[in-house]
Amino acid sequence: MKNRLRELRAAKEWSQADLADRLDVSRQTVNAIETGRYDPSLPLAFKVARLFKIPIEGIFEDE
Amino acid sequence: MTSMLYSGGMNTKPNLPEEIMFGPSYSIRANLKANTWAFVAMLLSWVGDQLLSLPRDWNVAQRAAIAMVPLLISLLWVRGFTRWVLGMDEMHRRLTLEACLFGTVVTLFVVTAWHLLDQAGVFQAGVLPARLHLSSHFTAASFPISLVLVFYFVGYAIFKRRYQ
Repeated sequence: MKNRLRELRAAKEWSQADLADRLDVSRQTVNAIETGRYDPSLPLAFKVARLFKIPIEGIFEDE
Repeated sequence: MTSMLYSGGMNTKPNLPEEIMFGPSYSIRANLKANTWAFVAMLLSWVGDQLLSLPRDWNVAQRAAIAMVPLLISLLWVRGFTRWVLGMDEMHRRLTLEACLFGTVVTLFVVTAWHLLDQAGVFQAGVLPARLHLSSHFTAASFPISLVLVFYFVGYAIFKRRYQ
C-alpha cells in the first residue's frame, strides 16, 4: 500500500521520532509504514488521519 | 512491587522486542520487566534439583510440589511476558507473535523429528552421533524451552527483515 506519510511528516517538519511519539508507536514502525513495508491497522490509520486532519484515503492508497 | 514487573503505568513509550535481546538496544530494566518470573522459576528449579538430590526421604507429594513450583511460577512469567508484548506497538507485537509461533512450531517439528529418528534407531546405528540420543537431552525440561527461545530469536531475525 502506498502512502504520503513521509511527505506529510516533512511538511510539518517532524522527525520520524516526533511522529512516532504522537502516534504512540516506535520510530521503526513509522519508518516501516513510510517505506511501505508495513501496512498499519485500521485504528492506527485513523489515528494518522486524525493527526494530519486528512481522510484516510488521502494518505493511504491501495496499489 | 508486582506492578513494576509489567509494562503499564507511566511509561507511554511502546516496548521494543530488541530491549530484551543482547545488542545496542538491550535494557536490563526491560528484561526484568518481561522476564523476572522466568529468572525466579529458573532459580527455584535449581533449588528444587538441589533439594531432591539431598539424601532425604521425600514423599511423593513433596517431590511433586518441589518439581511443580517452577512450572507454576512460569505461568506468572507468561502473564508478565504477555503484558510486556501487549505494551508493544502493533508492528512489534505482530513481529513478536510471529516469532513466538515460529519458535514453537519449529521446536515441535524438531522434537517430533528427533523422536521419530530415535525410534527408527538412527542414533543407535551410529548414523548420527550417539550424544544426540533422545534420552540424553529431552529428559531435561529446560532443553525444549531453550529450543523455543533459540528458534524464537531465529524467527525474530527472519521476520524483522520484512519490515526493515
